[in-house]
Amino acid sequence: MFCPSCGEKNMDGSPNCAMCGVALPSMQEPAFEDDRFDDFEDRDVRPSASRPRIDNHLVKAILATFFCCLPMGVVALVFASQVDGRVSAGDYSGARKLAGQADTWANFSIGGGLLVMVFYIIMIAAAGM
Amino acid sequence: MQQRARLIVAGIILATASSAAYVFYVYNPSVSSSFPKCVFYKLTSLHCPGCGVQRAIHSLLHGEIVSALMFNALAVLALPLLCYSLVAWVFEYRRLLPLSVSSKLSYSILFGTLAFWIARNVPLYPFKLLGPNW
Repeated sequence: MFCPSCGEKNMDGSPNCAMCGVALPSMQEPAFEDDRFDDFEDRDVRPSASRPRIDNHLVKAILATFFCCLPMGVVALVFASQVDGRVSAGDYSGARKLAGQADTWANFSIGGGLLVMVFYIIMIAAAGM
Repeated sequence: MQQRARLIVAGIILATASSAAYVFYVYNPSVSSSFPKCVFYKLTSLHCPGCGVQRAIHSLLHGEIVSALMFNALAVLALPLLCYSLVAWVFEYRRLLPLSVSSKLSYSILFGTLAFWIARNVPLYPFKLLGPNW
């Protein structure tokens, strides 16, 4: 079977992943489409079934907002902050959609920031010649 | 992504960050004109949430934490969070990944950023301190 955490192929029935050491689910457990499981201990709001882990791209959005100086990063923040709420409501496809939008906006912002930087370096090089 | 791939990516990030840190240590963005300027500020004359980050990094690298906070308090506060997220991502500390657990935290980051953005553009005394030109 494949490790739900890192994707490494493991022997069937082995308790832990040979690559990353994560505990492997036993064969009896139902498989989830996302095949990534959360394993948090604070269960107060969680149902017994595991939820798929959906990356909300919040870190990328923060990076884009503060270190690229383009307001598009804030749009990424708006999308990213809604992802976890959708996951806890059980709306996984909605959560994925929002996460995708957060990712796109953050990428645009970071790409734009890099473009501006490259443009500046070229300008400086041109002025220096 | 596998552990090994994540380590390589983290290595690339660290190498890029340290070469950037070298540039920001040696040159002062408040004095030198060769650093990129904020496009949003140029267009609107308003400070974006990221304005002052380059000067803040220069101050931080010289150990001047107070002046770094004065240039961009929120970005300086976000730095440890970003370092932590990198470590958590590389080593898959799932139990410790706060940014993908609580939607309360992500909402407070969003509204904190928006409030910071507005407040630092208010030209009155206590708010003026949040802007990069005090």
